[in-house]
Amino acid sequence: MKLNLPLRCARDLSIVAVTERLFSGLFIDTPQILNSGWISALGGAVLCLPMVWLGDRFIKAHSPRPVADSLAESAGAGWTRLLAAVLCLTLLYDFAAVMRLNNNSASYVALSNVSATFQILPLVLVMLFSAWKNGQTAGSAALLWMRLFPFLFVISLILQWTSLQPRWLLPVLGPGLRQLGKGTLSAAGWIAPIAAAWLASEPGKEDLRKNLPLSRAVFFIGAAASVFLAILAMMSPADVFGNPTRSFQFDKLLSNGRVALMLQLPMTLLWFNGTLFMLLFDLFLSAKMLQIVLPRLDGRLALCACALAGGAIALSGWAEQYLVQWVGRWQYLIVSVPFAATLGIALIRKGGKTA
Amino acid sequence: MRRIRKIVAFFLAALFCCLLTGCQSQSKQLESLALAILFGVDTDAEGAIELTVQIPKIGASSGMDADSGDEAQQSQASDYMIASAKGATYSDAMDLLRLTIPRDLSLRQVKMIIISEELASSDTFIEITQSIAETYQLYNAAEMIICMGSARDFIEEQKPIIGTRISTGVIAMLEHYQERGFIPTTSFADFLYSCVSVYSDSLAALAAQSEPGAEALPEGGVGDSLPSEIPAQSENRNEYMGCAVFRDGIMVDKLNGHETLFVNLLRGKNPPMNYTVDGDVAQLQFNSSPKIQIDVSRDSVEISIRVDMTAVALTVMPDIERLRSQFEQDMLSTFRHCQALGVDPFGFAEIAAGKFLTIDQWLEYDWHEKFPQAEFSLDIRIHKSDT
Repeated sequence: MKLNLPLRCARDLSIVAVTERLFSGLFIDTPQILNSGWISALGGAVLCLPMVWLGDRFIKAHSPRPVADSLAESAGAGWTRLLAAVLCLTLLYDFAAVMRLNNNSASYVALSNVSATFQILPLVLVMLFSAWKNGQTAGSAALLWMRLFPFLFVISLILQWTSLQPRWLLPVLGPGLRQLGKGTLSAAGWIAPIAAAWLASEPGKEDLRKNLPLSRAVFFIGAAASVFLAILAMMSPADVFGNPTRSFQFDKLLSNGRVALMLQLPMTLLWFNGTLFMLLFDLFLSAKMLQIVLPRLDGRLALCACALAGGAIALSGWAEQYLVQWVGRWQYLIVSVPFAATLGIALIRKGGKTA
Repeated sequence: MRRIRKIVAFFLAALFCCLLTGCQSQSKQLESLALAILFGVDTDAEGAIELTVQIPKIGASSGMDADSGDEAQQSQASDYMIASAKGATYSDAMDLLRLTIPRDLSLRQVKMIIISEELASSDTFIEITQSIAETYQLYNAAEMIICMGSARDFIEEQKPIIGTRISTGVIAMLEHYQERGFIPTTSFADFLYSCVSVYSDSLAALAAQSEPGAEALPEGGVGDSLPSEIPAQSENRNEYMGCAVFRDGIMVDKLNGHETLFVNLLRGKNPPMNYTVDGDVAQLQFNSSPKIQIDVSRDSVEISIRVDMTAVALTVMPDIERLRSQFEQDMLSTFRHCQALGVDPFGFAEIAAGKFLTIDQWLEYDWHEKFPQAEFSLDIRIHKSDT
């Protein structure tokens, strides 16, 4: 079975998954950024825009062929496989990290007495089952969620409206430029895996009419995550002296300490559904990248291999929060350098001419 | 082929159902849980921590068929179990408490978290607060109450005087007092966030058991009382009035009901206030939240406050100028009290912090040093109501 992902599905899945990843990374795993995470979200999107813009130009120049095939022809199969391998490993690690995040939040909400194995194993199976249906199903599910999400979000917002204090966004630069810079780099790292969606995508004739689809997606991702982070920042003052754990941050996110229990269901749905889409994005694309590296590998085998590997990493010490934070800071460079190198070589080999 | 797919799909669905961990544990059945509705924390002279919970006995009689009022009340009181445990640390006490109670203790339905004044004033209180925050599934939106005296005694005295359930009765009671403005609305999470934030200082509602002997109101009326000083008698011995103010997570003093009204007003709550001038009573209703401007550009902080309100005569309309003057004096008196304590529970710090670019610059400014020397400029505007 060949894993395929139409460009419009790649765009929709990226918007849903990467927005959630960016938001969760900045809010849960980067608490030192205090209430200025919204600035880092915007900064991260700006950092990734050149990379994604180049990718969009490449699609426009080579469509309607699949991007991987066009890149292999332009830059060579070796460079394409190298890029795919880097992206596969990055997404595999992110898959494990997000499973841990999901496991931590499930423990916080209800399942503290259940071992991580019994929480992660069903998750792996469910994700495998979802990704099995191929890219178009994943993209359609993401599109559906994009339509449902605003209703749940607006309900949550209305119920907490009176608690919002815009003053808590100030001082505007919060922890200072140095910390904001680190946060921006981490944010760019969490957006950068959209390069895998680009590499996996297959532009159709109808996609040619749309201009810069993935650049617009990145712009939307940065803006949406920025809005969510700003709203959350208005719900509680900056915590400078505490050392917030993930549970503390989940509490701020899901119950916020001043809402009625009835609010928790919409917020809980928003959060957990978002993590499931993050997992689907990571698993499907890591399997697709693996299939690009090993073209004869069946898609189903690739999915199983990636799911098992991701599950194993999630259950090991490699997916601890401090490691996820460290990897997040370097992820932008890990992805953007081979990406830029591969596209650069494609450009040089084509003599700088576009089709 | 289709049949095989259906069989596989059915098998997978069954497998997922078995693996769904929510179905595995039997401990989440209602009968397996002890749902605490009040949670108290005390300390003793040796620094040991005592935790107390009040748990409804689900399925007990409501006491409606008792012959006399006392029997009915005793029956209602016995519908609740009080359990306590003492340990050297908070976690020791919590472990012991969980062992003492013959069910799985759940703190998800707690309505009030009651802390004794002695503990709130101790140096270790901020650590205890962090430990409370880390308690598994504690309902952080529960109201934070500081109790003058023992939290355990306070909890034992909390009975369903009106109505049959403490859980709903407590919520109704707190809403009643908060609407009057004599106590602040502070959840435990609000309190915790304030303790670890860089802005204004935290506060919590003050409560106590009434003491025999209080026979006269203070000169300023009921608002100038603290709990236990209110000369009223009822079956409900637990009184709520005023607030406790904190600095760096440690309680420093109390504000009476009147002072708490001003704190609530400046924090945007706009409670109605009754004012008496020469025996004439008017109710002050606020047309909008006070407008506050803070100037940090000079050596001393200048805080300008404008308040617009309408006076509604409850008896005869008092002299507006005297009313304005008294209101201004009372507000300044509240400020001076808090300045002397070095605490800012009003929310001024949030406004002042907006004048700086980074939190480091704000911390360097050191609001706790500047606020006690702040100068206030008040613009109090009172309009007479047409009715």
